[in-house]
Amino acid sequence: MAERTAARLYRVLLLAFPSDFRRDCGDEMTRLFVDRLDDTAGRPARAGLWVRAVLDVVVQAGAEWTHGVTRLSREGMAMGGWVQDIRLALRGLRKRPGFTAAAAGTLALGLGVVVALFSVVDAVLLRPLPYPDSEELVVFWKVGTEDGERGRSVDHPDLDAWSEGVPGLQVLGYASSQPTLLLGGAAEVVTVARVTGAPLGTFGVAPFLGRDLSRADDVPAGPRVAVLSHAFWSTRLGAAPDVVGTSLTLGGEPWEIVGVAPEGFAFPGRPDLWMPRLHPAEGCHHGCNIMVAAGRLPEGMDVAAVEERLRAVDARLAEAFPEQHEDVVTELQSMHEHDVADVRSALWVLMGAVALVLLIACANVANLMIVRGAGRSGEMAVRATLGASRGRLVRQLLAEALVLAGMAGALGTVLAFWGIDALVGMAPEGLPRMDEVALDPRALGFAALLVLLVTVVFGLLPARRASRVAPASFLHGGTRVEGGRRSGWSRSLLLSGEVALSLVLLLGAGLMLRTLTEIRAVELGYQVEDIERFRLSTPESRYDTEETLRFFSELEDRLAALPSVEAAGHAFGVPFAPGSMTIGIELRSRPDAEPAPVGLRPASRGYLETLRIPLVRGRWFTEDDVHEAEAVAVVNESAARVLFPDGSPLGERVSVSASWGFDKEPDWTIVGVVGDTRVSDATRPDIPTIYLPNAQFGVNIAYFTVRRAPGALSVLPAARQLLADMDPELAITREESLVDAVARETASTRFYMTLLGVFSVLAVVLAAVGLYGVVAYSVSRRVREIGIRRALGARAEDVVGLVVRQGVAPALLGVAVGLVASWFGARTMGALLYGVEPGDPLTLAGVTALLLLVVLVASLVPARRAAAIHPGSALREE
Amino acid sequence: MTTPDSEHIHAFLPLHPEAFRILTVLHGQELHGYAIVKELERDPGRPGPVMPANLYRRLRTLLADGLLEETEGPAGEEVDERRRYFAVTSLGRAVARAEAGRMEGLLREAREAFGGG
Repeated sequence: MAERTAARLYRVLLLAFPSDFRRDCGDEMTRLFVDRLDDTAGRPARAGLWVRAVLDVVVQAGAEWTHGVTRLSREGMAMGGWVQDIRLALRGLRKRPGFTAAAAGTLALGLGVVVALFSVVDAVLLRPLPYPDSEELVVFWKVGTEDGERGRSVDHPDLDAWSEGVPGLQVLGYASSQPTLLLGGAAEVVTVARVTGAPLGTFGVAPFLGRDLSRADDVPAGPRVAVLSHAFWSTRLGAAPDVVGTSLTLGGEPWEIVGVAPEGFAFPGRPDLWMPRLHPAEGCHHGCNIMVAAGRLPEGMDVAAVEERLRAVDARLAEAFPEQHEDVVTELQSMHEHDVADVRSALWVLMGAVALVLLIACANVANLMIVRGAGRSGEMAVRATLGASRGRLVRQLLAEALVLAGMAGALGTVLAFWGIDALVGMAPEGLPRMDEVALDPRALGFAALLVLLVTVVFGLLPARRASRVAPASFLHGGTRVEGGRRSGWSRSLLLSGEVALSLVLLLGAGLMLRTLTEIRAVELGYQVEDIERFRLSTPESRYDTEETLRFFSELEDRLAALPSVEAAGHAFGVPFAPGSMTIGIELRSRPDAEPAPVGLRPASRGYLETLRIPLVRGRWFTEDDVHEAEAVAVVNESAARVLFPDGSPLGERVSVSASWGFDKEPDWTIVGVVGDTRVSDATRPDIPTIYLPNAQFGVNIAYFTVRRAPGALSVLPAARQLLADMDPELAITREESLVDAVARETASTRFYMTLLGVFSVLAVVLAAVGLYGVVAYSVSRRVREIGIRRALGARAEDVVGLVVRQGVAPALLGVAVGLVASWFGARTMGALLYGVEPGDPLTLAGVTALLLLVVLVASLVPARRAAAIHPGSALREE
Repeated sequence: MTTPDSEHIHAFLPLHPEAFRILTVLHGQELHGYAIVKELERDPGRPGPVMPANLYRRLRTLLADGLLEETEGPAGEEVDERRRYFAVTSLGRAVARAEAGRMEGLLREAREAFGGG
């Protein structure tokens, strides 16, 4: 397979040769190269062979074009000539700084963006995860066979059943929590991964100090032990070498440090430390299902083989626990696949976009070189007349192309360095593995290959054309040796291609812009400006439910009383913050109906007013809705619509399949309906949701939300002070304004839009410059013709029309081709768009008009110059 | 087959070193491309590997000049039918011999000029 790919690639290289040579020797050469590759051991040696092969083809194809089958034996020592030619090329390029800068700069720009983006694609999509045998790492899914619903939530019995059912399968359940750490008298919130097994061992890495956690640590009343992340250990504990054996106070309890993870190990999602779940195995209390699982396949088994074994486990579980496991199967997904699934298509779209930019840059440079080749035909003719062989002339042009491509490659690499920095800096939080992105040898190798290819293409094509100049033509035509009708045609075609590619890119950028405006225009259902919030949780060791509720209530009152605060409230499941609950709800009026899944949001009495969520019917919670009073609930409009299609939900009684602070699960009476709020995804309508008064539900984790007076400064410092006064051992986290949280939500769309925007602007500028160059050049060649036309009575407008047509005609062809290409191109973007169709006529018309305008301006400038040509002086010039 | 005349032979001189080596390794044997490469690379003084495009352009020229010819492969040996085999023509042999003589002359001159073995 690898052999066939190598052969195919080599055949592509051979396209540099004339077709008769290829017919004659192509097969043999390919076989020879593949044999050679077979005999070469080791990746670096094989890469070296490829580089040699490219050079070999470049040099020999150049010679073949110029000599054909001639007396090679007479050719002499070729290399000495090359050195001289390269020196000559350098001198020539120095003498024409404008041309050199334009050509090398354009090519460098194209190469730079391609290499920068390739580095990102390589790090994120192509390179395996940075763990030993990482292809064995998987994540677990539970998939409903009836409804197709997919979820990753698992519990302890699942994990045990899987590891028993498939010998050798390593399973690690994990969930994250944010307990408060007391360190040196100050309280702070840390991120902890609560795991059911060995986090390091599963990933095949060894602890830096001490030991890893193990399955044995995760027992109901097990030892309180923890493994620190390398970053936490070095920044917070001063990298103390004797840290193992000491303890930390977390959530009010001492935890013994048993190990430190190696540097860079950060699964899942950069925790500060790992601790065992210590979850009661029997029974399912609250939170029993809020854990997900990853693992490692047994050696020699692939996903399909393990999944097949898991079918038997699924069947056993379904029999034992039909309620949770009937019609549910376990599926595996490669961890790499899972990590990058969300960004895969977006990155390929961007990669395609930069490839188009490079193509446009290449077309531009080809144009420049054709023009320059034609412009120098006089010089070539003189040299040919004086006895320079055709081979010498072509070799000189080829050397120039090689030098140019080398300069562009070097400059492009520098640009790529900056580009990568900029990309990593701009990347939204959700883009995985960005810390692994670097200009690595692979990307550099990729750049080198590109430069060589570009050299072959642009060195040989114009070189071949220029070399066809017959010495005699110099004598006949003076310096007016034309590149010929064919060169004019190929330049126009290149131009059409550039315009077509630019249109595709512009449409991409336009669609992203529309998507962003659509997302921004979404009615979220609550106020975003002037809202600030923070997360707070109370440790169970010091606060029972009653105490937590008292504390929360007092904090809310004191927040509301702060100067410049208009309202304060708290809830769990708030806009664009982690943490949401989904539960089953049963209606007392329809006891035989299936429990319906709804979102659950415990909230305080001040929450609704703080976010200005509209109250549609009935009432919101009041301070009378306490634990001892009748249990009440409020639903959102979606829930009212879905659960009670025939009438008002008010007065209906429901039971929910969850409890938190209080052990009882009462019936809740619906007393109000509020508006829908988009809390986790601005592009999706709110799910049916039930709000419960937290005073009756009792969560000990909440987001406190305050609305300050418009224009007032942040109230978070005052809130922090308030909390320190009330309990110095509690710490707040995730302090932010809702404006920032919403911005984070649209960050990836903005990222893609910015990049596509930058690329399409680059493309349009390059295409405009190319167009201008071609039209201006043709005007300069036609001075005499235009002069004659003017002398014969053509008006200035006629001349302008004549010249503009020359630019606009190929552009129109380009637009036509571009529209067809866009139709296909935009389809690949489907997943990135919201509120706009890939073939949106408005966007299409807009970008087409914009592009045509640019084309018109780029041709008008030289056209006006042509119109200013004075008939007399034009004729005198000749 | 006509005997190549001396003027015809000397029109090929001096021979490119690589062409000379090819004629030498093909003396008395018919080889395909990769076998030629392996023979050429047995020369410890070679700067690097023989690359396909270089080799085939040279073989093609030598064929066109009549110094080499294509054959069916060595008689009586196992022949890979997908490959092209090459052999030296009598002109090729004569040219190689003349080139060797020319170099010998050069070497002699050099020895006389600089002394030493």
